[in-house]
Amino acid sequence: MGRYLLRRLIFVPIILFILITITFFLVRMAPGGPFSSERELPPGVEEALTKKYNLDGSLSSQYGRYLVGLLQGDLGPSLKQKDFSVNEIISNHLPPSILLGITALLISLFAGVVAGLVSASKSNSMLDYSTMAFAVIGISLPVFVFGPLLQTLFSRVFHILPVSGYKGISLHLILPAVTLGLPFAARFARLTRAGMLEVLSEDFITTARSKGLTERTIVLRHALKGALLPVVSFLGPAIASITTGSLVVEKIFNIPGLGREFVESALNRDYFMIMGTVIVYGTLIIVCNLAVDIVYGFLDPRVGNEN
Amino acid sequence: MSDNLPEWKAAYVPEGEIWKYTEQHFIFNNGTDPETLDPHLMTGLPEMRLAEALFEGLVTYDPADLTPRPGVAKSWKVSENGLVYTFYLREDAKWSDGKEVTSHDFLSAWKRGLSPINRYINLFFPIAGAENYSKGKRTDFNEVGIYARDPHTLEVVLHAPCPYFLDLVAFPTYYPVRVDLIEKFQEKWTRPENIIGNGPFVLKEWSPREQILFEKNPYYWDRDFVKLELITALPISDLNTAYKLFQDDKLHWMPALPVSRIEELKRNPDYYVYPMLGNYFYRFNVTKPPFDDSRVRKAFCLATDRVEICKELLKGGEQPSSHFCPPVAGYKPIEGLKHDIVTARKLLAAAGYGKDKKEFPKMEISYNTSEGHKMIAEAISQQWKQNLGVDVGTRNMEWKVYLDNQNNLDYAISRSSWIGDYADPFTFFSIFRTDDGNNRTGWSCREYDELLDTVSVTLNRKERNNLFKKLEHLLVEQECPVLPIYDYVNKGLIKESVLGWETNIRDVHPLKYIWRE
Repeated sequence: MGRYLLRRLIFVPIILFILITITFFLVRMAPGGPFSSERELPPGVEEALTKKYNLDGSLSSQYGRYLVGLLQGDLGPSLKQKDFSVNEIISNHLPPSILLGITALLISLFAGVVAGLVSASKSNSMLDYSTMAFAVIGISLPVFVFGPLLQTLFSRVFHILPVSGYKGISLHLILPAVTLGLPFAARFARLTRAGMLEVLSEDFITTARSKGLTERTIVLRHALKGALLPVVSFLGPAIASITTGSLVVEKIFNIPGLGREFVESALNRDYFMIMGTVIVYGTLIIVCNLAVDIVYGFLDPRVGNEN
Repeated sequence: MSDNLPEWKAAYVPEGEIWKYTEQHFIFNNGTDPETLDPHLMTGLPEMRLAEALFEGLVTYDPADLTPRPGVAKSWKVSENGLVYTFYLREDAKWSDGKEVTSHDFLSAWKRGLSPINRYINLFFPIAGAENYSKGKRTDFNEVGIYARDPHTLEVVLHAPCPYFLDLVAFPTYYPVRVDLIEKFQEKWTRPENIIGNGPFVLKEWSPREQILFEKNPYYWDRDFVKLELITALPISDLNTAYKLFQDDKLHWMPALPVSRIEELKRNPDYYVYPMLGNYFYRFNVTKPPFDDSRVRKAFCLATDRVEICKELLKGGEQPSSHFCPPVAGYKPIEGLKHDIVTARKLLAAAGYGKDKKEFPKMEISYNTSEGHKMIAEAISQQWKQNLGVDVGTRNMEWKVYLDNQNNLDYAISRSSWIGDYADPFTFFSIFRTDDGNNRTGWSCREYDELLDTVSVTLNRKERNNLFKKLEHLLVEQECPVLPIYDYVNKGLIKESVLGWETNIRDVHPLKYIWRE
C-alpha cells in the first residue's frame, strides 16, 4: 500500500503540469481575446493593456513567465475583474463553494444511500419502483427547474426559507444545497441499490442467510461494505465537482461561489482566471481520486496489493 | 434649506419630515458584480451606477432631463467661440477623508485618464492637445488644454467647439480620482479600506458577488440634501430570483426584467417603460456580394417588418425604427425605409436576383448566442423568405467569436446594437466614418465623412440637426450599410415608495436625489 501510494503521489505534479500546459496553449488558440468588446478599443489601448498584463512577447516566453509566477504561488491578475487578482478571487469564492458543496454532499449521500438500501432490500416492490422512479426524476430534472420550484414553494408560498443570498452556515444554505444535491442523491441511490443487489446475490450472503441471521444484520453487517464500493468510487469525482460550485445553482440563489468563474472566465477569455480555475479543479480531482483509492484499499484489500 | 435651492432641485426635497419615518435604505439589483470601481477602467452601466455614488464630476446630470447641473463646480463660463470652459470649483467640496477637492485633483486625474488604460480615452479628445498627448506624439502635459488657474478655477481649452462637452464632463471618465492613493495601493485602491471619493456616498462593503454597501459621506458638500443613509447594490443575474425578492419587498428597484414574464410584469403597478438612447440593428458586410450592392441592402431593409418584431415578439414597448439615431437633443429622425414589399422586390430584381435570373446566394444572419437574438433573427429570416423569396439562415456564435467575426468582416449580416455615450446624435453617426473601428461594415462614403467633419464644428443646434438628417438619409435611405430594427427602451420595476427617481434616455439615476417614503 505504501509503495502504491508513493507511486501515485509522484504522478500528481506530473499530471498537473501536463494539465497546465495543455490548458495554457488551448485557451490561447480560442478565437477572440480578453480585450475585444462591442466597442472598438481606442488605438494604443490594446497595446497598453497587453503590456500591462504581461501578454506581450512570444507565447512560449509568456508560458515561462506564467510558470515562474505559479511556482511562487502567483496565479496572475484577472483580466475581467480588474480590481482583483486570481488568487484573491479564488480565495473569495472557493470557501462558499466548499461549504455549499459539502452540505449538498452530506444531504445527498444520506438521502441517496438510505433510499438505495430501502429499494434493494425490498427489490421489485412498489416502494422500490417509486424510489427508483424518483431517482430517475432527480437525475433528469434540470437544476434550473428544480431550484426556482423550491424557491417558489419554500420562500414565496410558505415563507420559511430565504429566496437567495449567502450568509455562511445559515438557513440560506438549505435550498441551494438541496438543489445542488438532488442529482447526486439520485445517483447515489441507484449505485447503492445496484451494489447491494449484486452483493446480496453472492454466496457468502446465502451462507449468512442459511445461518439464520436477520435480514437487518445481513444488510448492515455483511453486505453494506461491499455494496458501497461503487458509491465510493463515484464519490471522488463527485466531491471535486460538487465543491467547485455550479454555475446554475449559484446564479439562481446568488451564491458567491467559484462555479461561475469556470464558465465566465472561459467566455471572457480571462486567461489567468481560466488557468486558476482549471488548477483548482484539477488538483481537487486528483486529490479526491487519490483519497478514494486509499479508502478503496481498506474496503477491498485487492486494490494496491498486486505485490 | 429649500428656500435657497434652485427650482429644479427644490423639486427633489421631501415635504416636511416625512422621510424621517422611513428607514432610508435603498436596495437595487445591479445585475452583476462590477468589473472595477476605477472610473478610468470602467466601461459598463453597472459600474457607472456605482461610480456615481462614490465620485462627483465638475458637472452632474439633472435626474430628469440630463441637463448639466453643478457638481464640484458651482458654476462655469463658456467663451463666446465655444472653445474655453472655465469651471469655478466650490470651496466646500471635500474628499471623504476631509481633504479639499481642488482643480489640481482634476488635473492629475485627467492626466491619468489620458493614459491608454482608459477605454473611454477618446471622450477627452475634444480638449486641445489631448489626442496627441494620449498617443505619445506630445509628451508634455502642459501642452494639453487643461489649466489649474488657482485651486478653485479650472480652465479647459478645446480644439474645436463641442456642443456636448458639458455632457462629457459629467461622464465617469472625467471624475476626479486620488492619484496619490492609486500610486500607493495600485489595483487595490478601490477596496473599501482604501478608496476615497468625493461623491455623496462612501464604500462601506464590497463582498464580490454578494453585495456592495454604500453609506452617506459625512464630508460631502451637499450632505444635507442627501436623504439615503444606506444603499445596497445586489449582483443578482438570475432575474427571476430578483423578481421574487422584489415581490418580498427586499428589493426596491430592478432595472432589468425576466423577458419571459414580460406580459405578467406589464400589469404590475411598479412597472415602468420609457425610451432609451440605444438601438438594435443589423450590419451588412458591404465588401462582399450580394450585399456590396446597395439595391440589395435596400431591398432587405424594405422587406423587414419591424412592427411585427416589436408587437408580436418583443412586446415590451420597444419602438420599431427605420432610423439609426433615436430622437435626442431636439433631433427628430427622418422616416427611413418603411415596410414596402413591392419596391423591395423591384430592387432585388434590378440587382439581378429573382425568377429567370440569378439565384440569391445562401446567406446567414450571425448573432451572439441568446434566445432573444435567435427569435428576432428567425422571424426576420422568415419575413425575407416570404417577402423576397430568399433563403437566409441564422447562425449563433459565442460572444468573443462573434466579435472577432464582426471585426474581421467575416459575416454577411451581423446582429448589432449601439448605446449612445452622450446626449447628441454624433455618438451614433460618428461610428460609420470610413475606417472607424466601430464601423465594421466595410462601408465608406466620402460625402458622409465630409458631413461628419462639418457637423463636428457646427455649434448651432438647428444647423446641426439638419446635418444629422443628411447623415441619416445617407445611412438608412440611400446607402443602407445597416438595417435598423428597433430603438431600445428601459424597462424595469421600481417601488412606489422610492422618490426622486426619474426616467431619462440614458438610464442614469443619480442616487443623491433618491429617498424613500
